[in-house]
Amino acid sequence: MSFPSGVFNTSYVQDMMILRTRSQRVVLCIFMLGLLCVPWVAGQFWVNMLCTIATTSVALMGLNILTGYCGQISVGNTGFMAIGAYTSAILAGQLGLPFWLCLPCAGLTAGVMGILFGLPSLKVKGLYLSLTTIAAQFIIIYLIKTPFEKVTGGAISLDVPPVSLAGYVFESEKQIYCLLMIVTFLMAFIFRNIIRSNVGRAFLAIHNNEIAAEAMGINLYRHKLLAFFIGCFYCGIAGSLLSVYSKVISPDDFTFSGSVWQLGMLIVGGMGTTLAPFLGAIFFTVLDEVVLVASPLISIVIPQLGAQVTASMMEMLFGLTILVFLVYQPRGLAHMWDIMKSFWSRWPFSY
Amino acid sequence: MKKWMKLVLCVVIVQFILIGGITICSAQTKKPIKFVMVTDLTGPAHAQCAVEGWAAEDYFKWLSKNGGIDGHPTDIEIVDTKYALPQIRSAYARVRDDKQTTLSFDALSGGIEAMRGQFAKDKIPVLMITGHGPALFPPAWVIATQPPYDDTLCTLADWIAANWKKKEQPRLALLLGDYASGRAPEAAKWYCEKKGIKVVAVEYCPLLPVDTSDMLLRIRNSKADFIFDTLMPDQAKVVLKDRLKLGIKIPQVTFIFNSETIMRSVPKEAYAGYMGFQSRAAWWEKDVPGIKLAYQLYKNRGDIPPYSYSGSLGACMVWAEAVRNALRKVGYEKLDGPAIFEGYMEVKNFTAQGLFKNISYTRDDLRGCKWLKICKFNDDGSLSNVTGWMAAPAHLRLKAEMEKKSK
Repeated sequence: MSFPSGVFNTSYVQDMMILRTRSQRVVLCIFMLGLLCVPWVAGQFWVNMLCTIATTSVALMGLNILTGYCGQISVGNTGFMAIGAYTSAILAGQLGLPFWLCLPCAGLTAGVMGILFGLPSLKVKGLYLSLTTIAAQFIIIYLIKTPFEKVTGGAISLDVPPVSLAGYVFESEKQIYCLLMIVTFLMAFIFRNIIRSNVGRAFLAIHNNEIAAEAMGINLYRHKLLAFFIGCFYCGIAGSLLSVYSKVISPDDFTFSGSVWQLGMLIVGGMGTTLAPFLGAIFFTVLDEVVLVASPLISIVIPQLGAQVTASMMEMLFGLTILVFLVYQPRGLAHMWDIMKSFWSRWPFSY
Repeated sequence: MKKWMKLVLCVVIVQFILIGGITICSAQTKKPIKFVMVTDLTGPAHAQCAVEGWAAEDYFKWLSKNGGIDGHPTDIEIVDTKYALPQIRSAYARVRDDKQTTLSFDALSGGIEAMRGQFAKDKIPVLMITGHGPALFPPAWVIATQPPYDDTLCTLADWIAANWKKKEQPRLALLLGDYASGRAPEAAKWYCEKKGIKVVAVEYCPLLPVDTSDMLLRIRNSKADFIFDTLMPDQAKVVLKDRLKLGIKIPQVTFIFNSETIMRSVPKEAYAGYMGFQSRAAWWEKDVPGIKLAYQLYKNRGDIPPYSYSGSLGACMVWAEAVRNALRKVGYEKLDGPAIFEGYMEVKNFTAQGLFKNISYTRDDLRGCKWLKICKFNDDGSLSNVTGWMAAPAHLRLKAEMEKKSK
């Protein structure tokens, strides 16, 4: 990391700090406070968008640990989110447990299921492993819809009771938004620290070369399952947050195409980097909103096209976006951000 | 810049100028009323919803050209949410606070259910173009134009019970589409059993099936006398072809009779004898004024308007009628959610140019049309009525009353 002139690390603790300078800490505090104030200055539309970005970012953090850092391809992310969402909803609605218990239980349940479905990773890799995660997606949704339908509500939606913490009930959109932001910040902090720890470095080593990693003494068996556990734990937390925000969940909210899009978001964000989950979530959520607004407008401006043709044209945007990034910017938005930062810090002497 | 790019740019600029000109001219006439239809044009339910979106688009453009609603032009905006809840929420949040804007949600059963509470909190009536029971009961701010699908199963149970002549108990199999409203009729099994009908099999058909032989064989082995299905067109065509392949002749009744779509995609031998429920007139009932309008509006898209098209057309007429009632009562400037809801309550004995038997709303029954009839494909491929209009029982209300009594 490059520092402003005059800033030096004189101890190991300083060297390991995420926010090394005071200005970085101040900027982050202002940013976090600014985000928390959004419901009081912006409309419902912006609150909805930021809530969607927050829940998606948490899920993408899990996918980034599993796929981006450890190299285990997973296309069953939304299935694990469903586990978290239903666990949280059932514990809160049917057992009356408080939210501060439901949230970690949701993560733990999804994590344990992640270990179960991650067992094949010890024998298979790449596309074959992705097939097992696809199977996980469909098996989980089937289990929710059919054998356990008396508990889960089956294909019909399940109501989620309002969140209560120490007697305080989070009912309004503003309260739920603040809760979601606080949990997202916390999960982001933990994510950053996992990546910087020896576990994170082991994941990277496994991703780069499994044989070399094993030769260095990294237990592949343990670390792969740990990656699945942590990745799916994050997905469970994301599912729980989604259930709190939506107040009603159904299996239709957790589709296979959602898992594929999340992988696409991570690729566009810059798989294997810290910023990837946030940039990918922001980019695609904003793109979704642009499409939602632009599509009817285009059909008004060019009425000959009609609403469905313009909607289909907009759909192509998503696929094209991923293609363009894969071809021209495979390191994603995070790399573009790094380029912009270094250009700015060196300007006008960029050469 | 290349020549073709300059040409495209010129066309777009001219369009903008024209739209601007039209806007300036129309500023001197009455202000428009905005109709926003939140639907799925490109997602998993597009096979049905896209057609319904076309109907809304065509109808409101036609209405606008033909005087609008008491002189107010009708602007239609179709929003594609791809059946995803975040997009549904976002689309709703964007238009919620707009004045003189009214909403409809199409075939987004899960989304409607998820947002029922929000509609009630915001006091915004939302017209639901499909029939998802849990969204309609207890009655709140979701309005329908047809009985929900669990009521449809109850109607079938009434019909079977009334016409069954054999000594043995009639046996019914359910072949349900694997989506929220497709599975909703399962909750009405108790009603079938109360009518003396045994439900012997329940199968779930995925949204885009490739082969349904296994489900059909299990249904055949269960010795069912009737099959009730909640299949979308993409599912129905696979099932009907597999029935033909397996030689299964069990009478099958579908919850929405998309006869035109079936005829185009399935051989005659496969759909002969197939029955279905209609809550309104369809393309083959050409004497109905509403169907004539459907043909007129659909002519740029195809020769025969599908059943979903005429259904959505009727729903849009109900929608416009409710807004007209509200406009006449409160005026343009005060047109808002509660006023439009009262407008719906004033809709009584409305037939939408003969498309429906009768649409009437009351505060405790927002189903709109409560009548269904069964039609079928004859062996020669023609269509005919099997029954006249039958009253659809309000399943969820009956269930709630039964549960209350048993306590």
